[in-house]
Amino acid sequence: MAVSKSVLSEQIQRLYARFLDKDNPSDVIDIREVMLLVSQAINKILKLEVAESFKAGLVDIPKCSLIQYTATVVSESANNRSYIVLPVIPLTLPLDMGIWSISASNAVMTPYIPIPAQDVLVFQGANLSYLEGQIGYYIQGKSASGTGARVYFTKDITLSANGSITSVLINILASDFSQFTDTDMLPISPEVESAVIAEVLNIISGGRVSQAEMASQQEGQ
Amino acid sequence: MKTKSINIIVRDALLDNGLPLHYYTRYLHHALRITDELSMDFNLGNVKTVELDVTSYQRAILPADFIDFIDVSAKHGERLLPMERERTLNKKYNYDDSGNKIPYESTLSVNYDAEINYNLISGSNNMNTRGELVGRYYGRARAPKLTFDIDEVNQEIVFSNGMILTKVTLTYITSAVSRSTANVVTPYATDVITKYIQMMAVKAEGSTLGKYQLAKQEYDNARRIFRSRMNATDFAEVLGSIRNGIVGSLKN
Repeated sequence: MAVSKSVLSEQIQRLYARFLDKDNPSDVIDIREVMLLVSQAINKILKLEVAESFKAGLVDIPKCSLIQYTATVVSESANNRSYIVLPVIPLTLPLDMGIWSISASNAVMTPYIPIPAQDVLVFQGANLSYLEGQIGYYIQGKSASGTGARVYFTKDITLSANGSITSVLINILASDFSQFTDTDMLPISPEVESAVIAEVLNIISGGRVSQAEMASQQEGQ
Repeated sequence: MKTKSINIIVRDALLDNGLPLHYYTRYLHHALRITDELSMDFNLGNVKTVELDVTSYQRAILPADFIDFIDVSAKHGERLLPMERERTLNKKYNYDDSGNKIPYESTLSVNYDAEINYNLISGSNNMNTRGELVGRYYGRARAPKLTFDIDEVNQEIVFSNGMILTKVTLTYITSAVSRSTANVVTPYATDVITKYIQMMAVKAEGSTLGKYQLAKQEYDNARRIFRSRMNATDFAEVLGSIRNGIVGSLKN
């Protein structure tokens, strides 16, 4: 069952109100606060999910959480390369897997080759740098004067020799909630929903005690 | 001729391990390393033959991609007759009074036809000009005069001063890995490259020694199979080898 952000948030709000006083539940926490927490909890849980699969020896990411964007390619002819600005910061995963794939719009089944950012400066001059004639990409941090982190291609893909590409499709693993209204179905798998609720409840109840706990404490005194 | 690209071998290895494209560069690195290494012992398309001009000072300039020579030969009809390496040749340049490079003085006069007949074809100078053995055959006393050596410092082939050829044919080894075209190898090499990738991946991920040893064993076995496939000998070659040992000799 897919859910929207508002459905999840309202459920958490109700649970939290009952947690405080089950006989007199009320909207004691602002729904906007809960919605923000839901977004953050989803990202955290997605990362944990991936990390768990890595530990088990598998390399898998929850594909239903991938979001596809279109990015405009900018030429940087001085360095014989080109770049796009990342529309959203991906999850930090080994080998930069937060960016799942980048491909030309007309060649989605032949994506560009991902190069781990830590390797790209090492392999210059080595046989590997030719990449068997293919075009690779790597993440580089935000430019001081620019906006957003950049992904560079190893060649200037705007040139006709490299396909005259002006925009690319990029699949990113991140729950970017700017892409969803409060009532849109979230791109998360059903088994993640309960984990999100538990995570948010855990955060907002931190340092507070429920009425039942307070009563038992008073009885003890 | 059917070949297999390194790109496909790497993608196959990723599929074997159920890994995404993010591991491609690391696997490709391993594949190129082992291809380069295998090419030192096996012809993976990296053995080239070129004809070189002999300079006025009895040398020939080595190609830029030269790693090591297989043979330096003289042309003789449709065949190439390998010349002999003579390590005592002086590799220091000789100059005339004007500072031009010149060959060292020859102390031997060489007749090219006789040299070809005596030393490159027959392997002996105990023959007359009609190719008949002249007796006094006390051991194989060769006196080759068409000789060469490699001057690694100046990247040239040095010839003996009596060598009168104006062109020689060089067969040499260069690197099998190209940085300007996609690399391909013989399908025989697929398994050994794949097993090397697996072994290095196991090593890189810090696996247990047992897992690494198992991967290494598989690689060693794949390399053995590859070596035997590349060095296959057929019946005609064996027969030819035996017949080559049957030669005429002096009647006592």
